Amino acid sequence: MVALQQGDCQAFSKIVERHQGRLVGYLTRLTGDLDRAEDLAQEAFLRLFRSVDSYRPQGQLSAYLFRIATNLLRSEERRRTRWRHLEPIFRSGQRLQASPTAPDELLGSEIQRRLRRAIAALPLTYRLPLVLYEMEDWSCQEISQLLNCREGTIKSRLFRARQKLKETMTPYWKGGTE
Amino acid sequence: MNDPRRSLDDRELRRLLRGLPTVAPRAEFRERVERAATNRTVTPARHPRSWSWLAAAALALMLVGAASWRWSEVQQDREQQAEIEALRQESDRLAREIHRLRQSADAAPVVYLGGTEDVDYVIDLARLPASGQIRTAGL
Repeated sequence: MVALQQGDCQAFSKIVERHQGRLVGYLTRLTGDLDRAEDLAQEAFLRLFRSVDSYRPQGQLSAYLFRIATNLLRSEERRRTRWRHLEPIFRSGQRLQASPTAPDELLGSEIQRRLRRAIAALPLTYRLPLVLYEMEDWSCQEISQLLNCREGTIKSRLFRARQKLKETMTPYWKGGTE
Repeated sequence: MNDPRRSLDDRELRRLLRGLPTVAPRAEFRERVERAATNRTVTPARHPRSWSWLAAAALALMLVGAASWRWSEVQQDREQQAEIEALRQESDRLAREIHRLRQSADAAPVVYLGGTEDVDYVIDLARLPASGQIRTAGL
């Protein structure tokens, strides 16, 4: 990031190269949609690029990127929710497709497909801590800093997220034989 | 044997979550981001678009304002014309009435206007001045 601030154009390319995998992976887990995840990740990188002059190193760059991407996703989900409320007025009979659009070969087994859908169907307030904690290995403290809330709130949201997932997945769960 | 009634526990759920395959970005993703960064640096598309929208909105607002102002002017003119026309008609009617009264004045020069048990109010049409000489009372 310092190199980018000093005008090294290759530095941005290296930043994208280094962080794209984790960021797109994180966003795909949250959205269940590779196209959406790439669009959000691209916007997050562009925001980082634009804010290069005002950037002050305060911890890891990846955490900063995750914060931008998470905020972008929150805004997008808010817009989608608003549109979902307005949609019946503008479009009669057609529903907005919320199902994942990742290519089939990426979706894995049937139970994994259902699990992806179940995660994508969770409210974002539950989805974010769940993905960060269970799949991205963030601590509750780190998540609370990212989401600007108390650790206790994160723990309670994690518990509820797990409960909801278990309720959804239990009918398809066959005692570990998948 | 599998027990279909058994529900998932936290450990199994975690295993399932961590077992989800990682989705990597497409091969051209990095180039796409770099291209977008370059394009936005060279020609920042967002601001001109928003400015042009702002200008178009302002122009539309001005047009709507001018049109509504013109419409209210036309309406006001119409109302004034209608008022003048009504006054003209009333004036014509009064002129006709005076003319009729003048004609009947030869036969009956005095017109009874009304009165009480003690007084009768009459008007002598022969002594009525010509219409050009009539002055209205000031209020």
